[in-house]
Amino acid sequence: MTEGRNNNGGIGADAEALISIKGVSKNFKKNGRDITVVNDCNLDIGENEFLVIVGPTGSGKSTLLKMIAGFEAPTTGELRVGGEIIKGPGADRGMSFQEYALLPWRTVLKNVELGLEFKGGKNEAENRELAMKYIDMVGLSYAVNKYPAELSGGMKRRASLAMILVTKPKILLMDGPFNALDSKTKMTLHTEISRIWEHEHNTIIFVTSELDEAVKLSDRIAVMNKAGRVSKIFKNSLPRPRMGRAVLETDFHNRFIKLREEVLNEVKAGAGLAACEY
Amino acid sequence: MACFSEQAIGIVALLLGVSGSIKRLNMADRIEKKQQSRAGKIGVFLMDRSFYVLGVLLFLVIWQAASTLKLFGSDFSEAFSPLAAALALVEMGRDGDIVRHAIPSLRRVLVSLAFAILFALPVGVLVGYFKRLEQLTYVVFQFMRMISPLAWMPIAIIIFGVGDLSVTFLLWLVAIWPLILNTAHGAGRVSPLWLNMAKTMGARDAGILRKIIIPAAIPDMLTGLRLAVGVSWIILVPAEMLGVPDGLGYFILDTRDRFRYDQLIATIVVIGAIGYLLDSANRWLISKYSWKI
Repeated sequence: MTEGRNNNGGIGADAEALISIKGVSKNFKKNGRDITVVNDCNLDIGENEFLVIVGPTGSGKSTLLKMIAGFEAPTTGELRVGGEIIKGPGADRGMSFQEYALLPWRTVLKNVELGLEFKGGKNEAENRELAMKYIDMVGLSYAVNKYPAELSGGMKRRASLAMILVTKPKILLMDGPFNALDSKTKMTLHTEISRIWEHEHNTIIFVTSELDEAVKLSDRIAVMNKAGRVSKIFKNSLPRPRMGRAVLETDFHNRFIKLREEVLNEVKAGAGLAACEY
Repeated sequence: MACFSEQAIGIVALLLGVSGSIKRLNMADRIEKKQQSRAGKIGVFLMDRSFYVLGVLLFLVIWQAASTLKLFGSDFSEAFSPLAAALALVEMGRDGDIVRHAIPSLRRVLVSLAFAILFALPVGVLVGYFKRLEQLTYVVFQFMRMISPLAWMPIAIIIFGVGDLSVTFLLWLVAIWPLILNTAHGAGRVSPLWLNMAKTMGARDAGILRKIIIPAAIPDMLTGLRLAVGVSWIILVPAEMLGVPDGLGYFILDTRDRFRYDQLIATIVVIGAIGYLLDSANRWLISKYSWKI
């Protein structure tokens, strides 16, 4: 089930990597000291793959995602998408932010329509219909005309999720998108994101610190440690769908628990390593 | 004597009532407002309103007393009193003096504001958005901002001649700074998160400007507009004392030369009232078009 300590990842040798990360490090200056956040990271991500990155806080997961999005440049190494070196943000890589990027002067509906307005081409009614579809999906139809200031944290998160989903990016980068959501909404969104991924054949890179979520959603799970390295990649071959009745089967359940246990041990080892270093 | 003491008791009672209400408002304001019924809300609204009116009335009473009782010395003539001013105002309204002078004043302020907005908003957005441009202009703008436009008067007259053009130029010169600096502040406040998000959605520069930067800066633009209107209206009076044949500033000097101090006071009241209305309009704009975080 696991691939051992293989940083070059689990997609087959014949498959062309959609995203390739080679020897990527990222240093930040803090109080005059260089801090390595991402350390010699190697990762290949294939087309239509659902990769989940887990790791303790401060392991550089978010920074790695930001580099793929093009918001941060690596200190060394290179990141490529479809063979092209990433030079900055682009419409092919949609990012769902950990912070809420809602525009405070627009209602939920107008916020979700924003990406469609940037794309252009469609008329207002079509945009509205599409936006409503995604707002409905994240369970916010009752708040379409509210402004961000009137929304709770969970509602803001759902709105920003709809905002990015509606633009249907080829690569979806998600930084803890379901953190701090109630479990019911979270389950709905797990189902929806799996469905979207299966229907739209996009590639998803999903950062989280919740292992249940990681096992539920992923094709592969990359574990990052405190040193900012990808310490191990687990292949997740649990059958899909992983929600609903399938979960009740003993075999599925056992495999689920086993994989989560292995990932958890790896995460713990990664966090512990740092404790020794400091 | 009996009558006087009754009045005194009345005044004391009024003052007690006033201080009591103020305390009530301050201390338990929030809790009370939540629990109030509709009738209670209307009561508080009327109470609040009546204090605004009371303030104006107190001011008028003190003012009238000052001229009737010569509180500020014998030079504070009866012609300075609000009653005399009210009568003069009616007279000026009837023979059209108010309109004849208020219209050119408003025209000068609005025309100069329009030009100031056309110039200052684009400059402000650019300065706010591009850090280098802000650094390039910072000292000069802060320096220019502190110079009263009246100091430029001789130069304005050399370039534009005596008359409307000079006055409009001076008003423009005073209005652009609050507009530029506030707009720049607003455009500079745009969250990098919004820009990143727009870029991941494939937005181009024009789209980012139109849908992110300008709307983000609108509350600050409106604040700048409010300040600009305020200083323009204040500078208007002295500017109109310099070689124009009409306007409220000109009329102030005119009434002085004709020894019509009641009309002078009435003109001052008109200037204050128009200024207040302009500011109210701005406050309404701000409350209507400002977004909140």
